[in-house]
Formats: sequence, C-alpha cells, structure tokens
Amino acid sequence: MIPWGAVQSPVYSNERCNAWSIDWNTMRESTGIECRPLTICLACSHGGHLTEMLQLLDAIEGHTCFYFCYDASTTRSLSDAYLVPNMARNPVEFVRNLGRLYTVFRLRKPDLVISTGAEIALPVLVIAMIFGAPMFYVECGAQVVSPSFTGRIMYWMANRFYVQWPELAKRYGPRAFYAGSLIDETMPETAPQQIQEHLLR
Amino acid sequence: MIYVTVGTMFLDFPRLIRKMDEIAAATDEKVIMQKGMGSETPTHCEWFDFRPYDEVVDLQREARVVVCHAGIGCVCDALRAKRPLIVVPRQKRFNEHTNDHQLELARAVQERDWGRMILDINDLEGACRNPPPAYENYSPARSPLVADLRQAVQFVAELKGRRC
Repeated sequence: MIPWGAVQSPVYSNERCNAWSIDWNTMRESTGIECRPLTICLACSHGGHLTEMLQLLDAIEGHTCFYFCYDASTTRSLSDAYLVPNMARNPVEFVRNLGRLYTVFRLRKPDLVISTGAEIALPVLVIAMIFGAPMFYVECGAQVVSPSFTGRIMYWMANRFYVQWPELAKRYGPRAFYAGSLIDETMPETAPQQIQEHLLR
Repeated sequence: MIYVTVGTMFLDFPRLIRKMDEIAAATDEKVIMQKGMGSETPTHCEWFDFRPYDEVVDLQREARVVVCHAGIGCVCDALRAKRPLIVVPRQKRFNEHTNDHQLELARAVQERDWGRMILDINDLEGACRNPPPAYENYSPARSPLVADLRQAVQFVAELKGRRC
C-alpha cells in the first residue's frame, strides 16, 4: 500500500507499494530535499511486545516518539506514554480507545505509527488512517508458523509488514517480509536496499 | 539458583507455579520467582510480582537455570543471558492463555537447540536437575531488521521534507 498522504505526490505513481521502490538517497541528492525529524507513535502492549519495541528504538534515533500502551507496571516507567486500561477484548473499550487516540493524535500529530502488537494496534490503525499517518507493523516473535489475528489485518493494512521468522513470511504472502529478527538467528537473504524492490512483487 | 518467570500475562499460571513450589520445597537450592499478575503465590520460593527490567536481567544472568513461560520477552532475555533455558508453554486447555501460540515458540526453542520444552509438567523436576546446556553462541539477526526499519522511517522523514 502507498503511504497514506503520499498518494497525491506527483513523484509517485499510484501503483501499489511503488513509493517504496524509490531510491531516496538518489532522490535527496538530485532534489536537495532534507529529512525532517518525525513524531512517531509507538503502539504496543506491555510485556514481550514492549521488550521488542525497546529493542527497535535504535531505528528511530533522532525522531521524537511517544508510546501508546496498556497501563501496567512495565509501561509506567516510560517517559512519554499514553496509557489505557487493558481490556482488549471488550468492544466498548475499543471504541473508547478510538476516542482517546483521536485526542492524542490531534494533540501530537504523529507522522508515523510503529507497532509491535498486539491488538492495541487495531484502534491505532483506524485513527492513523483517518489522520493519514503511515503505519509499520512488526509481527511478534512469538508467532513462529501461524499468523496472529492482528497480523492478518495488519498484513493488508500496514505500509510495511515485518515478520520475525522466515517460515512465517511464507505463510503470510508477498507483502510480509523477513528482514531479520529480534529472536531468530537466520540472516535475511536480501540486503536492506534490495528489500524495497522485494515489495514490488 | 533457579529463576522462574511467567511474564506479564493477565491469566494465572498455577500449573508452573505449584510445581515449581514443590520443587523448591524438595531442594536446598534457592528458587526466585516472578509470579506476575496471577493470584497464585508460592510458599517455598522467594517471589515478587514485577521488578525493573535491569534487575530482572541481572537475576537471569546469576541463575543456574532459567524456567520461563514461552513468552517472547522472557525467552529473548533468557537467551541473551545465555543460561540453560527451560520453557513451559502456557496452554489454552488449562486456561493459561487465550490461544496456543506459546506452543509454537516453545517448539522453535526446542528445534533450534536453544533450550528444552516441557509439555508434561511432571518432567520439570528432572529438567531442573539436569538442565539442557546453555546456548552460548546466541546472536539474533537484529541489526538487519533495525537497519531496514531505519531506512523505512527515513523514507517517511523524506516524504515529510518534500511536503514541507
């Protein structure tokens, strides 16, 4: 999927995923456009998903980020976090989260959402779509061979969908890709640069 | 010392906690347990609900054996501590989790020789006595994932630069 909000840009064709195929290093040199620091919303539940998120923080160095998490002792120590009660399977709570997220997004205006799961990603997805923020999803390392419920939705909706086990990438399909893992030792077959072309298929 | 951890799951894991309590009662070895949000409390172990992350990591490094549920956080931390690892997956049929995905991770741990999976809780005592060897050469493929994610984030930053 093309990043929401980038669709109107004349540089990119409307072909699915095509935006990712652009070599932005070359683009920057030719157009002199500079990267702007982003505000990034990190959505994850407490526990293992948070552990994974903390390990991915190196990737967003230099950008401002805030968390959207469930309220638990592990998340209370986070510096800039919006915490909601953990009643994930309650539909009323889902709707209330939509409202809370709407307020948070209007206040912070994130340019990007990154989520490591679990179902807390779903209300965030809805609001991110309304606000036109692209979303990256990293499937939890606990899913080794079978897709998760959230993963099945995010597979179609996220702008970039990572899995952490090579076996699982095959199960999901071409939009999912294995670029390395926080748990498995298998090195990805393609270098990061080639993965962008990978998405074109 | 045996370190037992059941993660942050909101469901109880009495099967492991009770069995580990029995083992602790029968041995002289110190057993430290992170028991999480459940109501089941052991009587023969030193236990706590939650502790700050760095303290937990230290505990894992000091342990002779790490016994944990098959949650991603626990398994990841235990592997990085490079201690002998025993994973006891939470199972849906005992109402320990909402689905059976922990079996998948536990099987992967077993297949890759990272540690031992315990399905029948009665095998736990033997496994604690004769733990599997520690997996010394553990190095997850983290850097390519972080590199790829950074590039994708950078791309969005670029788009923002275009629009401003």
